Amino acid sequence: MAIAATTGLDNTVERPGERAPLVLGNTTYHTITESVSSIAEQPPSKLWVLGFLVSASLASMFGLLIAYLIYNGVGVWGNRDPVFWGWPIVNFVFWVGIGHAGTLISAILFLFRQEWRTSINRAAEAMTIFAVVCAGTFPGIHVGRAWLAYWLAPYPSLNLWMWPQFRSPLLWDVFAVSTYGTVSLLFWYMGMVPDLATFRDRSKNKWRRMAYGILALGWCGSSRHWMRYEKAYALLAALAAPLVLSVHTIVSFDFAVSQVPGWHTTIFPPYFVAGAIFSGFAMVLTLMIPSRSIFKLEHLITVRHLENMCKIILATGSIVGLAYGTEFFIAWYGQVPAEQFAFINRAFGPYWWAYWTMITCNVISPQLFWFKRMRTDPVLIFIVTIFVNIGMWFERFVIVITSLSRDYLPSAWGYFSPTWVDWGMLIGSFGLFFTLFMLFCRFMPIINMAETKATLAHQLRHASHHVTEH
Amino acid sequence: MNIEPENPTLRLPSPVARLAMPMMGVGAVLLLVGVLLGAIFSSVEMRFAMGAYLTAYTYCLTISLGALFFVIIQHLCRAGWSVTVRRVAELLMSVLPVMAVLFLPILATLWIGEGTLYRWDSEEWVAAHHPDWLNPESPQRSKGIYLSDWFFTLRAILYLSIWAGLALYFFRLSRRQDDTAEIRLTERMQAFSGPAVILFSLSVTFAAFDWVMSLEPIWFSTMFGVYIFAGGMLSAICAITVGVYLVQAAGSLRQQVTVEHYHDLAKLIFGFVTFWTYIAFSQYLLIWYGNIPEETFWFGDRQEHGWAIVSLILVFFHWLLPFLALLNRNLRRRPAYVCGWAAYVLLMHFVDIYWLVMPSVTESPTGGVMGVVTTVLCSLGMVGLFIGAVLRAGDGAPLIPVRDPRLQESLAFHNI
Repeated sequence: MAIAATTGLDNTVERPGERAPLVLGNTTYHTITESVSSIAEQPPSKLWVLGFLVSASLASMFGLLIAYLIYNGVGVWGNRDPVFWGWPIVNFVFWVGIGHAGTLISAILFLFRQEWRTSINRAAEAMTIFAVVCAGTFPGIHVGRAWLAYWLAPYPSLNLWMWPQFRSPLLWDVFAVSTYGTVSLLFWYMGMVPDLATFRDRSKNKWRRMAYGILALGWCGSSRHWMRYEKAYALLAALAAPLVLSVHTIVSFDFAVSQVPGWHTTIFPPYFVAGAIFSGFAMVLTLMIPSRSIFKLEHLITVRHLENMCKIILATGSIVGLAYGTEFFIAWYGQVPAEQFAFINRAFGPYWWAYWTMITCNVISPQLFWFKRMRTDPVLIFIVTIFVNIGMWFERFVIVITSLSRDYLPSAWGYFSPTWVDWGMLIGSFGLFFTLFMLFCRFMPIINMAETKATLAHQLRHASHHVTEH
Repeated sequence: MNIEPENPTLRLPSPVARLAMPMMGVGAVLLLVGVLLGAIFSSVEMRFAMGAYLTAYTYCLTISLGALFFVIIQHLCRAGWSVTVRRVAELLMSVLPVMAVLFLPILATLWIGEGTLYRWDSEEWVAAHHPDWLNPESPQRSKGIYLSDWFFTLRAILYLSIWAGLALYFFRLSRRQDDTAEIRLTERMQAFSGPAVILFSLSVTFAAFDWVMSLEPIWFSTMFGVYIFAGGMLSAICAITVGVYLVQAAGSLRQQVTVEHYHDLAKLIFGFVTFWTYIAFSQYLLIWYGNIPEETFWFGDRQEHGWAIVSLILVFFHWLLPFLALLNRNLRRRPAYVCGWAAYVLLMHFVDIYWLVMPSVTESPTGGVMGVVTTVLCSLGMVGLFIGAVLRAGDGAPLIPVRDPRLQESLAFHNI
């Protein structure tokens, strides 16, 4: 088997006309299988056990808090007149946004033939699904009587004698997010089938073999299987590509169709989508930078991969910055007093700290990625991505809370304060997210082995071309 | 494959290249006659004629700007597939300095006329409708300053110089590489492409606000810049497709641009038809749903006096028809088919710009017989000038970047 001897090579440098390798080290098909499969085959490390215990405890706390909420009612949250959409909606929008990077990587980067996505798409898709799980929880419990949440579904009810309001974007959200969750799950699972078969074939224990065997759906790697797989993958990618835009567009409609100053503005759909991709890539990096070093995957998830993602963060962060600026400009240009007040109030009102946290984290911090040194140092990247995660949570806080707390009549103004339940649920949702992600790391192929091998094959073919040319 | 710069099949065939000056000349004459009709016939009015001029100007400008963005983004992404079609895009953007000159008549409406094209340019109108814009005590005075002749002119000079500067930078470096084959030039263009995107997006957003949105001085939509960008990008890709096809029909580039490139261009056309629709629909839905009079009147104007038909044409023929036509992969791999639809979308882009500009200028969608004549003359004239200028830029230059380090990758490119 040919070996791509690229040890010690800096693949962030690309001479125009030659493509830098995407897989480094003395990597062969076999070593890819080994380095990915061994993660799930070895006994868990102490670090993993510790991390899992902490996350699982927080996730359990989330579960208990949900029980407490359902028992007592939504009054345990800080949602009060005039801010009836408090942190639960902030958290919902935050988590839905996180998911978008996974779909962008698996669908849009696939359609644009960006081969570097093969090392990161699996984990990013998994992250998408877990983020959707966290996101879906919040509106589910926000309806108050969570046991009646199924009323959101349109069905010919014999008890209610009515349908949901089809003209409401809140209902469109139900369709958008559930479609998104379904397609993402299918995409993720279907893409994983060949790798699950590898896990099955390597299993030494009967139960393990049976479990992976069921999941692998009888995959035997025949060329007919591969042909169908490729076709299905391309079709799902084409179906998932519009979902990258539609989901957060509809989430933005929740706000923008209203007349609330600061919510009603036409830039919201593309601006929300850009923000979602921005936050999603930050979360992918937050997860991948530690994972690649803990699981020793630096030769597969290389600095070049990190650098590319940093560039996407810089681009989308700047789009978000342009949108903030445009909103401000049009608020002034439009000369509508309520709109002008809403923006002055955002920046200089009682929530000025949230606004400037958002600007600093979302617009200023990614500008560091103009410098290559910043884009290629994993520790620095990790720090910036934490800032972006914080900033994007605050963006939703600014939109939801500041606009609602002061709309038109000063007599109807108020100040929102979160309760301990709000805090607990925010932290608990992170616990749920990390629990699911850690389970995924432990039991599933966290890198798309099959596609990474195809990338390696491509790379080797090119390398041999160069040898014959020179 | 012969990719020497002197190879005649890499150049504009001379019968085509010879058309450049006549096209520019005839175009200029038609344009002049079109505008003058407004001055001569009271049934047309100068306002209508200048509206037709702005429509034709914005149409060509958005194509050129879209081509500029296409070129920048290819460098930013270090794209390999597009190298053989990039020169055509470069030619389309290289006429931005000409477009800067063609903006002068618009500025003239401000300095010579009084509210000839833009209502805010008329002191009488402002005093009657928004006296606060003139009142130094009022906080609304700042809007009056923003929409004043000199500040508008200053900003226009800024936008036009940014675009002309960017276009010349990328065009000259790419042309220099034809001779020197320096890889360093590609690296320089790549390095500058990031800042170029920032300059481009800011200037296009504000030019869209200033030049088209301010036709209705109190109307506003934060999405407007994105809308102009979406239409421009779409029409630029269509113009590249049509351009490449025509060049091939005339006998050049037959081996260099393959069905694979058409396939990719068709995918991009399909993608941007959808993106344009997404932006247009979102803008409409949010304003319709919000139902606030200072926003809805703009769409109201486009639903009355026969404009509703134009609005519906956009829905069914700018979106639905090309969307359905380009869904099929096998059809996307037929160059003639793709070129036909690209030409069709270019026509629809004109309808789109007409629909953006003219309802703010006139009540009737056509402006009567003489109105149609004016519009047709202005548009043909402007497009003639535009194509003439593109041909002139293309005369003497190879039609692909012959020494681009990624040319081999593009020549060998295959969709999987």
